[in-house]
Formats: sequence, structure tokens, C-alpha cells
Amino acid sequence: MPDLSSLDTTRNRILSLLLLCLVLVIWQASPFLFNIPAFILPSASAVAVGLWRGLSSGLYLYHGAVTLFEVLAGFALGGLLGLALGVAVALNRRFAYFIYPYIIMFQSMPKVALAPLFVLWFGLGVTSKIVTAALVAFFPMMINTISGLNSADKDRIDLIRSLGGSELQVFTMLRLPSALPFIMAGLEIALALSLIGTVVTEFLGAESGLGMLMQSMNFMMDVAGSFSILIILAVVGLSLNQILIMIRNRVLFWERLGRADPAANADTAAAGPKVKQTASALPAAQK
Amino acid sequence: MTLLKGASTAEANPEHRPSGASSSRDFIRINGVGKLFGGRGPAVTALQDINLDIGLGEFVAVVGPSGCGKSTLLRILAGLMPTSSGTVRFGDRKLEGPRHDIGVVFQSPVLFPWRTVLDNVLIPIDVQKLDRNKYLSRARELIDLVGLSEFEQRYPAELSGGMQQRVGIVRALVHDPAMLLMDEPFGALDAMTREHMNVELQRLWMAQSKTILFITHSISEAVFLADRVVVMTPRPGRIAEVLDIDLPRERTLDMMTTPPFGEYVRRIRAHFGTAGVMD
Repeated sequence: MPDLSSLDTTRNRILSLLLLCLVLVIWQASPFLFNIPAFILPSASAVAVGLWRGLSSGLYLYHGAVTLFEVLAGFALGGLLGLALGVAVALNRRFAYFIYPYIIMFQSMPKVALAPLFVLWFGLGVTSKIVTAALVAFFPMMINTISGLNSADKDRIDLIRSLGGSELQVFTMLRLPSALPFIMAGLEIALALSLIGTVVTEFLGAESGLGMLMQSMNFMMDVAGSFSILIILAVVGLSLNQILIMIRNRVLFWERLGRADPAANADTAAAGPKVKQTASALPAAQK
Repeated sequence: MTLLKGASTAEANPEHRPSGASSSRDFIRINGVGKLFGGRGPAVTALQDINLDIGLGEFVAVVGPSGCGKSTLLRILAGLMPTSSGTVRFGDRKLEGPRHDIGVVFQSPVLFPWRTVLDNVLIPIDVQKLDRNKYLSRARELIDLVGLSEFEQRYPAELSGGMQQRVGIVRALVHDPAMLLMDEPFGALDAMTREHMNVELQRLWMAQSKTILFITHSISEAVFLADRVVVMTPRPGRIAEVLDIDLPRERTLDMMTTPPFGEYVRRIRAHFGTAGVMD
């Protein structure tokens, strides 16, 4: 995302709110204006009613909790495995040599295509969703961990070695913290993919969950209900991402330093290559 | 020209040095050192038959254009790279890898952005698993010596380039090494900051009485700082001349405009022809 904070004035906020109202009004009016039937595009008010009904009855809360559990469990499982295997690959060249062909093979495969198999193997319960979510979360985490651990600055490695430091010390004092920006970026991608993996697997066959709920609403032509679940999913995705960004800002505190003092920064620029990286600029794994 | 009379070879008498260092030059003995870089294709000779003895407490500058192997020499002395031929001896022991009593300063400050200034300075203590508490006051003194006491708890990103390099220098001193290896430490700084840093480094050296090997591509910087200047020429990297700099300490920036200073600079520059590689 480009830095838009300078545009964030009271005036622009009001304009932005007006724009939202305009969009809602056009949406609300479009079934009448363009003669679109409600089972194709429900009006904004119909979606709002569907949302309210689902929320007040506790229906969305129950299915949302199931989906959230599957997402988080898959994310944690895949993320941890990806981190562990990434560390192993980065540390052991022999291990990397033997495992790389499999990694490349799996990487070029659309992982969600395995979801039907997982439903077949693990059934309609939460397990098949967690496995899919874990699989799609695994790869970006592993790949970002590998490139992160290999991103350690050569001079910094030399510094530790010149002091008689061991490779273990190079790893703990340098490689790991150097990898953190990459790992945090990997977590963001993994989380977004976990949500996709979970919902898609729920579409394919589930006992509960927002994806399954949406699928059954589609069968009943309740398009307004489907839309309202899309809104819930967007809110869930956005909230999870915001939590991760908050964690990232805490963990990578040094990336935000120095920005408040442009004079000191300009001076730093003369001192050779910068060591700053932001997550968005990373050569992260495939989306 | 009279000034240069006794300053022609490496064997010239170093007794004039006011640093109080030992007059013997057997602290470090570099004996017939050569370095070949292999890989695919023909091998490249980075260093050829380097012979140099450095005395305890001596300030030696190595000057030469890019590709003359000066950084390779430093990496060998730091124990980061083996020689292809010849030996390096520290005292009575052959150099076989990194030593605990050497401090290295690189061209960039090489700070860890997630560590505060104080924690950056303490990196050698952490790496060598020494007692942090014992070295804390020394670290603070060194930080104070380069005028950064107020920035002790700041992070590198909050410091200017010159301040960062000062942190890099005192870090190399914190574990009280016998020798400092400095690889063009001020190369990335602007001219004004650089001169200021030269004055500061001389002050630091006089206060700490360390042996320093200082690599630079600036002739005037080498003459200003060093007891002896080693002139290197490229392809293959070899020593062309070793020159004693017979200027009194403590040297001032004003001295850089005096005739003797200019004479040294002229003499060193003569080795590089008119290639324009030096400033």
C-alpha cells in the first residue's frame, strides 16, 4: 500500500464517507434502475436485513466460530511446520538438496486443488479444513523463512566470525532477527491463504462453517444471505490481518525508527547501503 | 626533501614515534603472503609476496587503488580468509583463524538495527561470552569518548552516518583487543565528517594505544593518520613502498597544508601515475 497518511484530513474523511453513501445509494437503487432481479443482485437493504437476521439469531456467530477455529488451527499448524522446515533447509545444505525437488513440485501445484481429496480422506468435519489451511499456509512460510535466513548481511556475518563466533551464534544473533521481516510477511500471506483454503474446503463439503452456510444459502437462492456472509468473511480477514500488523509493528520495532527525524535519516543515506526493509517490498512467496 | 631522508624503507627507524610503543616490529609478521582466487577460469592473483612487520602500538595505513588487494590483506589478518602461500604470525603464534584479540571496523558501520547503541557496542562481549557487567563501564566510557553518551539507548536508525561509524569503531575496541583492523572505515562519509573522524581516531588511538592497520584509498588520510604508509599497487596486489611518516603528534588538520605533508602525498601519488584513482 502506498503511504496515504498525508491525505488523511477531516475534509477528506467527510468526502470518503459521502462516497460510501453514494455507493450504497447506487447499490440500493440499481435493482430498480437497471431492472436487475433480486436473486442476481440483492439490494443493499436486503443484505443488511440478512446480516442482522444472521447475527441476531446467533447463526453467524456459531458458524463463524467454527470457520475461525479452522483458519487459526490450520494457520498455526502450517506456519509452524513451514518455519521449522525453512530453518532446517537454510541450515543444512544436504537436507536442502534432497528436499528441494519436492518443494518445487508442490509449489507449482495449486494447493487448493487438493481440497476435494482432503474432504474424501478426512471427512466433513473440521479436520479436512485444517489440513487444507495448513497446506496453503505452509509454503509461503517456509519460502519466506528460507530467504529471510539467507538475507543476513555479509559484513554482519563477518563481524561475528571475526570475533571468533560460532555458526550457532551467527544464527541466533544475526540470521534469526534478520529473517523476522520476511517471516512476518510470510505470516501475513499464510493467514490470508488459510482463510481461502478453509472457505473453499467448506464449500466442498462441511457440517458447519461460514463456507458451508453460504453454499446452502446459494442453493436456496438466498443471495442476500450469501452477500451478508461475504461481508462477515471480509471483516474476519481484515481483523486477523490487523492483529498481525499490530504484532509485526511490535516485533519489527526498528523498522519504524528514524522516520520521525528526517534530518538524521538524510545523514544516514550518505553512509552506504541501507538495511531497512518493509514487508511489502519483500520478494515474498507467490500469492 | 630532507624530511624524507630517513623515510624510504620499511626498515627505517621508528624511534621517533611518540606513542610510547615498543620499537620492535615483531608484533605481527606477514611473511611472503600470497592469495589466489580460483573458481572457474584462470586464477586471479589478489596478493603477491607480501612482507610486512608491524610493531606493537603502531599505526600502519595501507593505501592503494581498488583491486590492489588491500581488503584481501585485511580479511586474511582478521582470520576470515586463508592465505594461498606464506604465513602470518601474531607474536609467536601462527594465525590460523579469527582471534579474540582483534577488532574489525568495516566500511559500513555494520550495526544491528534491533540493538541499541550500547548493545551494539557490546556485541564482541556477547559473541565471546564474556561477562557483560564487567565490560559495561568500559563500553560506556568508550561511547562517551566519541561523544555519544546521550545516544546510548538509541537505535542505529536514529543516528547519523558519522555517529553510526563511531559506534562501529568503539565496538571494535570494547573487548580491549591488541589490534584494530580498519577497512576504509570513513569511505562512505562526506569530506567534512571524514576529516573530523580522522582527528577523532587519532585521539582514540593515542588514548588507547592500540596497534592499528588502516586501509584507505585516500592518500592524505593515510599520511595524516599513520606512522607508516604501505603503498600497494594492483594486478597483482603487491607492496610498492613502505614510507615512514615523520610528522609530530598530535597531528592537526592544519598540518595537511604544510610542505612536508604535501611532499609525502606527492611521493605516494607518484606510484599511481596519472590514473586518477586517488583523491
